[in-house]
Amino acid sequence: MIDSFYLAWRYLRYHRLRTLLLVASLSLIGFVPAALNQLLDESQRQLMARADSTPLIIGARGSRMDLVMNALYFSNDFPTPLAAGTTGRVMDSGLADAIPLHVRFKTRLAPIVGTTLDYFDFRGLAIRDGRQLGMLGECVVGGALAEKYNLKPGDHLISAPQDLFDMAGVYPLRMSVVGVLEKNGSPDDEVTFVDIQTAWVIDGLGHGHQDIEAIKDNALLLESRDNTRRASQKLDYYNEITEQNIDSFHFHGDPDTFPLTAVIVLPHNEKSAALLKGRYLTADNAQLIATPEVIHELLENIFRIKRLMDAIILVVAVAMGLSVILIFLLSLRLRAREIETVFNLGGSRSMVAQLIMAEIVLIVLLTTAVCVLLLGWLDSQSSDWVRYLLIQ
Amino acid sequence: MQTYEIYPTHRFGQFWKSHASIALFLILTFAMLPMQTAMAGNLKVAVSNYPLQYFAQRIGGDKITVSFPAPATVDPAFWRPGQSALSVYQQTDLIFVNGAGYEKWVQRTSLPIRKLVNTSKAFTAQYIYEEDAIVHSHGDAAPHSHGDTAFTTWLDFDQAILQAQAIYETLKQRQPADADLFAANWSTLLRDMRALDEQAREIVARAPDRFLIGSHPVYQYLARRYQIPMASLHWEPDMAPAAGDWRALQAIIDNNPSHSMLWEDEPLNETTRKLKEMGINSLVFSPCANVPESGDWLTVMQQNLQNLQRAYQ
Amino acid sequence: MIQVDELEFSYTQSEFQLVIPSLSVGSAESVAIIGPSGTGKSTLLKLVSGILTATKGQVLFNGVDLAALGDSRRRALRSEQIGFIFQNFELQDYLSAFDNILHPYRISRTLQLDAEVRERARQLAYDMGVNERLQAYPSQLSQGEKQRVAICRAVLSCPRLILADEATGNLDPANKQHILDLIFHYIQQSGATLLAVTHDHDLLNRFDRVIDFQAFIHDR
Repeated sequence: MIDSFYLAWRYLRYHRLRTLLLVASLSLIGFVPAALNQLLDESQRQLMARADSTPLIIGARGSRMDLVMNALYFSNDFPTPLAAGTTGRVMDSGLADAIPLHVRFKTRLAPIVGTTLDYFDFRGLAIRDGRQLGMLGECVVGGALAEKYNLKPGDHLISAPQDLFDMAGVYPLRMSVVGVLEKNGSPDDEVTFVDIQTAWVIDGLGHGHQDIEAIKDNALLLESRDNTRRASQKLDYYNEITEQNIDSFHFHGDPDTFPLTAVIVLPHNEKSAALLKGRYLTADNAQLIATPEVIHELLENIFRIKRLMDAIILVVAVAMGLSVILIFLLSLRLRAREIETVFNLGGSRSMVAQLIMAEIVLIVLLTTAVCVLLLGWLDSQSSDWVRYLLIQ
Repeated sequence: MQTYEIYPTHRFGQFWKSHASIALFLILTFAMLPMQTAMAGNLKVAVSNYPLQYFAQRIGGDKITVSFPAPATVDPAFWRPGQSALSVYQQTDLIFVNGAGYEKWVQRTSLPIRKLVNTSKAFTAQYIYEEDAIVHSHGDAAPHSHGDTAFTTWLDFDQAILQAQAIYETLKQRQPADADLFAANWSTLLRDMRALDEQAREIVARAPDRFLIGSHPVYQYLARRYQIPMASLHWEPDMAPAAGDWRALQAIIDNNPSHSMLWEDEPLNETTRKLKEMGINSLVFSPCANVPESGDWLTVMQQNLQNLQRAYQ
Repeated sequence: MIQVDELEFSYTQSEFQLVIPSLSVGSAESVAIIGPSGTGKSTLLKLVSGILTATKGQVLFNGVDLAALGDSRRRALRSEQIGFIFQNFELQDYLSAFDNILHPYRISRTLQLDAEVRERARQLAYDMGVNERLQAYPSQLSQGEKQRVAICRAVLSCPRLILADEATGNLDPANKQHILDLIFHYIQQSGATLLAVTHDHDLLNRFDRVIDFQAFIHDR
């Protein structure tokens, strides 16, 4: 037996290109469906883990999927805005705590998530470098984002317009990076966090400018009578919030009407959750969603597609397998003289079969090793890849 | 930035004197226990002005730890916490704010909203908005004002009771194990505050039409609650009024004769003298927004009411 | 050593038929087989070694009827007592010269490859003058070197019978003589029998006897 494997190994090693191609094709047949399964399993794990840890969210009436993907994964699918007063109403009900989210803007690098300090406690996010958010205009970046772009406390990020045609509607704010978060293997690693009020500044609902009452330039001050001052469009707005100008920053309008993309709801107990669900069943302009249900629907669709892909891959694999067998049989024909020599030298048919089987076993072992290595490598990367694919 | 841990010192001193043996036993017991165990149940509370600190401490007693990071020399309404003071608020268990636009800095800082309690939420609809706030607009944006809500809400003692009650309800909910103690303390505080409210009404009732002048626009809620006819100037106790200020005063008393002006603090002697020449007495009615040099919020308010009496003699 | 009596053999689906009334090869005898192509010379070698089985008649090897042995005993006999030398060398291109020499030991169920065999192989290679080419592959060997490696393979098991089928057919004249020298050196030293098919009449004088297959041509 050992001799058979020795001869088989020598044969495969001598014909390395042929062996490599064979192992590569067979590895693909084995690796692709396994990799697909692994990625989908990881997707399922991440999606469900995130959903299970965020059981309820409130958003405006509209696409549940957009709402969930934006709230949990900070996707580019922006739901209809929800009034910020929802947060207070949930808290005042005594049934749950509420954490506002505003995920509409990006820096050049990543989504900007506007929220409150409660979000960090909720997600268990700890500061690795620097400190937590303090003043308006500051930001804290996720650990993976910081590593990718070498960000550290003291750096600056600028908010970008939502689209090129909406430059006037958004406040490009230069934000100070004051902290970097510990990585925790979640979508939070890839985003920039700001206070919800900073997000509203970026949204154009708040700004800072020079003191209108101190303006003397007629080009800037168009009208000044009684208690009314009217300034022109040329008035300088500050695009960065500093210690010197922060007191000039203010908001227009009732903060309860300011926009959120979602509110994370943390009911105090199951009864509170049920009561809240009942209240929002009939609400006209808001919906309360159990995120695991939405993710389940998404996963069912994904796995429906996966089953179809499995069938296709199976057909392709069978075709490839048959081709490999055909090639193998043809190669035996080419090796007829070699086999005849074995007979002539005293080898039996079973010995020839043993030699062939040894080659097959070695190829299978090589293929398995390649697949195991590839799957092992994929396993080490899949968490990051899936998370990156889920967040845009 | 100093963190203040305030205890009702006068009551503490009386307690120890009258119960010395019990005091000794407690000291020994306390010394034997690890400090962590002794402090384990203490709720950490941070407040944005002194009245709230007083209410919280009266209700919570030694079952809570109250922090008020603003320096004693500043007006908390115009103070903005630096990073270390902000950390106190961010890391505490509860944050009690006055509301009514008192803490401008809340809109410019990051705080955990689950811990934030607006003590004036119960009477939001009764906030007073300043009539003479500067309204401005820029470009096509809608007009808006930068400072429009009167915020010395606690000078209406009925509102102050509501604010203290908000603190009580929150403490009771967050630390139910000490609910009975909180309830007892609240009952005592409520009695004291109702006494203030009753006394204020009695004083004003003696001459309900008497017109008073406020040196600074901080008495809106006092005036409304006790129906005191009042007009306000923008004078500071430690600054001599300018000629225009005197003209403004004259314009007021020309239409509404008055013999009393309320001050947040003792005015300059020269100002007091000139007012006296005009037949106007200077009376201190301190809002007590920060820690007083002596006494506490209750004693300061009691003194305020004694001073107010002079306007109605 | 070899006795063939009333032998008849034909391939299926072929008109060719080999008929040998009688043929014998004695021990230690060197016999050359000559004749036109297609007369069954190589077939005789396969019949004598048990690769093929006669349709009729007998092939005795050292008095043993090969047809009476089973397949496995014929294979054992072939690997232990018969050494083959082919015209085209029939070396395995994926094995080194040394591994080619040892090849029969790896494919046989009766021969045991051990240190002594390996040492004997090295010695044979030295004797054949290819000891410095043992790690080379057949594609790197000259024609003469390949045949010397093949001879080492054939004689490693100390066979009693050497069957050479056109062993010098692909060699130049100098190598032909040299290879024949090596083969004859072995059979003289070991007392083995040599049965060699050859077209090269220049070499016939080195054999003890020559059998002309012209006499056995038989049309169906």
